Order: sequence, then C-alpha cells, then structure tokens
Amino acid sequence: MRAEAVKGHLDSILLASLEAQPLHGYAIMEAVRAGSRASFDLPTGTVYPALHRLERAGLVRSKWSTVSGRRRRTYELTDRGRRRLREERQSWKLFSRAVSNLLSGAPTGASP
Amino acid sequence: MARLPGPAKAREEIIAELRDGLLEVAEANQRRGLGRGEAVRLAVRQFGDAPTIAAAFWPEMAAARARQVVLALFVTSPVVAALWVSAARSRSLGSESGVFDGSLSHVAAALLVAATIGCGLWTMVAAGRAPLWPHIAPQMALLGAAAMGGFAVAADLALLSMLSAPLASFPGPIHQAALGAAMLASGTRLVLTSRASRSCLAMRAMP
Repeated sequence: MRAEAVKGHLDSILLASLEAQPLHGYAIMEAVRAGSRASFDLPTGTVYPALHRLERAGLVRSKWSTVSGRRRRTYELTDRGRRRLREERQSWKLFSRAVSNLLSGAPTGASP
Repeated sequence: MARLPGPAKAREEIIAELRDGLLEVAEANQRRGLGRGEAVRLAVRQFGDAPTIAAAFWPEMAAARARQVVLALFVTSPVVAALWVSAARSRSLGSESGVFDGSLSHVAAALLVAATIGCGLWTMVAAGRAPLWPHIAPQMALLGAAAMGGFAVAADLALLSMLSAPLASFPGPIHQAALGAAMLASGTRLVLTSRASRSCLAMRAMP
C-alpha cells in the first residue's frame, strides 16, 4: 500500500496499536505490520516523531526504562487517547461505509 | 541526528530512543540469519531517511528551544532586577538625588517589562502541549522567544547605560561591589540572550 495512503491515518493506527498494552517504538511498528497483515510497512524511524506529537497532544504518555543496557521509551494510551480512539473508530466506520457504497458501483438513486 | 537543533537534553533523549529502535531492527535482522554488519546496514535502510526523520522532529525541538529561552529569562529577570535595586539602595544614605530622573523613564521601564512578560507568556502558550494553531505554533514560539530576548537585551542595555555612571559616583566598597555585581549580571545576560535570540531566529529559518 502506498505510504501516502497511510499518512493521514497514522495517528489512529498508532493509538490503536497501543490499546492493548504499552509498547516501545519498534514493537509498535511490528504490531502495525502484523495487525495489517504486512499491508502497512512504513520506515521504522517515521513512527517516533508521530509518537512525540501524540504525547504533546496528551493522547499518549511515555516513560523511560533500561533494557539490556539501553534506554528505552515506552508509550501507553491516556484516558484522552482512549476517547480519541473511540471517536476515530466511529468516524472510520461512517467514512468507510460511505466510500464502500460509492466504490461498489451500486445505483445511487440520484438523477442525472 | 546529532546535529538536530534545539536543547541538548531533548536531542539526547531523541537520539537514545532512535538508537534503541535501530538496534532492535538490527537484532531482528540478525535473528533472520544476517551477519552483524549486513544486519546493521539493512536496519539503517529500513529505518528511513535521516534528514526526513530529523525534519519531522523540528516542531518539537523548536517548542523546546523557545521554552528554554523564555524560562531562563523569567528566572534571571527578577535576579538582575534585584541586583540593580540593591545597588541603587546601597548608595550613601541621606542623598536626595534619585537614580531615575522622572516619570518618563518609569513609563519606559514599565512598558519594557510589560512587553517582555507579554512575549514570554505568548511563547509559553505557543510552545505548550496543545497549542491553538499547531501548524504555525513552533514558528510563533521561536519568534516570541527571540522577541522576549530582544526586549531583555534592551532592558539590560538601558540599565547599564542609564544607571552605571550615576551609581558609580557614590562611594563605599559595599555599594561598589553591589554595583559591580549588577553590571556583571546585566552584561553577561545581555551577551547570552543575544546569542539565544539569534539561535531562535536561525532555527525559524530551518524547516
């Protein structure tokens, strides 16, 4: 899938990947890859600026730990992030239903 | 990434996080059977274009730099003001001549203080966690910080030029020491603030 198609939905995708448990950057990318059945395979580095932006917006929070001698930053959803994810899911349902209807080629009932 | 502009602490944290991610990718490549060298080279390609990633961090670093400058000015301004007040008060008692020569200098000083504080507050809003205009907020934050720095430089120049000579004419080692401390504080802050304001304006031109 083209990267441009994913860009507009990256925030929602990242929020959804954090719904089950806190994850660090690489684990988030693996979760996105696995969850999309390899349809989304973005460069790993692109996720970090997006996560920082989500944290500044109060949708995720991060904390540092040390793993195998390396500093690791792990992210988790905030309550505000969970609310935003619910809203995004609702918006997506409406949007995808509308687009599916249009792309299916079914008669719309509109007169020329 | 080491040349990412902005505060050193924020830059170090970003580099530490990216290093962890890059090493994770390299280790995953090794588990798939690649040698260490090839695994790392592939990981670098998989990570993405470094200038593009660095550019994506610019808004965050711009906001951090602006906050850093404003907080430094908010902390040092009362200290510098207190040093000048103590220098003024430490001159010989009984002297009737005032250091300020009238209401015009008081008004100018009040306007300068108000402008400085206003710029600082504006910058903290623009550089905050949920800015009102996120697409232009980093630019506005850097401009606000540079402007606040400019007003602080003007204030230090005014203090040095208006007060140094009149206060220096009063005798006494304590007074002279107090005056020396005030002049050193203003002079040092003037130099550092000029550099900080220039770096904020330079950062604005980067994206």
